[in-house]
Amino acid sequence: MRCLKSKRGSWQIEILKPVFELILIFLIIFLPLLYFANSFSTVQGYEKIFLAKDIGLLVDTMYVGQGKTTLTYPENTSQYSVDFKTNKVQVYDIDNLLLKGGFQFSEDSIVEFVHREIPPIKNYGQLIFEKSDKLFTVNRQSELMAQQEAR
Amino acid sequence: MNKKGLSYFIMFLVYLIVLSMVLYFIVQIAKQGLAADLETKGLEYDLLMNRLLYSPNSISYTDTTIGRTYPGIIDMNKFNEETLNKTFGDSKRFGMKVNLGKDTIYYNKESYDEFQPLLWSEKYGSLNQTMFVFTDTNKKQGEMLHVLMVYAK
Repeated sequence: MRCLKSKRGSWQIEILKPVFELILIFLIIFLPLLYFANSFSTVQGYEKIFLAKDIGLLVDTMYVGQGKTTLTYPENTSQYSVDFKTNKVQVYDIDNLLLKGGFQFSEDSIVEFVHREIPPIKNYGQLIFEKSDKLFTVNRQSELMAQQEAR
Repeated sequence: MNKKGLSYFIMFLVYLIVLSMVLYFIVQIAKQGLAADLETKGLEYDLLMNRLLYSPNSISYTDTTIGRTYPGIIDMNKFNEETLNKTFGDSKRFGMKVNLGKDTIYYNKESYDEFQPLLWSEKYGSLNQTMFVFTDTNKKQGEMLHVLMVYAK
């Protein structure tokens, strides 16, 4: 009751100030932290980061090898888009574009890497990595099957 | 704005800055804990070091007839910075110094000069390899090959 009778400051400030600070703390700290923790805690979030790193390291490894190499990637990526850009791979799903798994690899200037975005697919979605002396390509198994049928 | 309003506004700004800093540190701590299991920097740069020694497009001698690379033999015609630039492309994520006898070549010298003096810091890492290599295909002349790769973590 003392604050209501106070002449120094209005009682509204005395009461509203802590409330305002609490709201501010909630908005600035709690909500972003909650969002961040939630996006990481989902299996998909973790999986996307893992896949991006694994694919990037695989590309780096294949560059070390000699001659022609073909490798079927054993992990399931059929529900994700895999986007190969210059020296970078990103794994994401269209429903959650905010959390992308990304990894930087190092391209060789002699073996040309074919940059492209590989969309998700339900059947025969395994990734096939092919490296020759001049070209490095990544395709879905279904795409290669369709190419073979067309021939 | 009166005097009281102004002081309240300044305090509000101070609160905002402190809160932002607290948020930043909390997120960084959480991020480090979560990323620890997926930390692959060591493996990543180990692969790049192997590329220098084993890739047919790198400084090692490659027999074009059979397509085989000999990691223990350095092709002196390919021992130059142009070869390194072709081998590692334009990613420029790390710097590398390759020393063979009296010859020294660099990949991304700018980053090398920037990171090398800062290796005491935990923010930077390095990979070092020393090996004896032949500099001719007859295996009669040999030199020590020193490779130092520096990178930002």
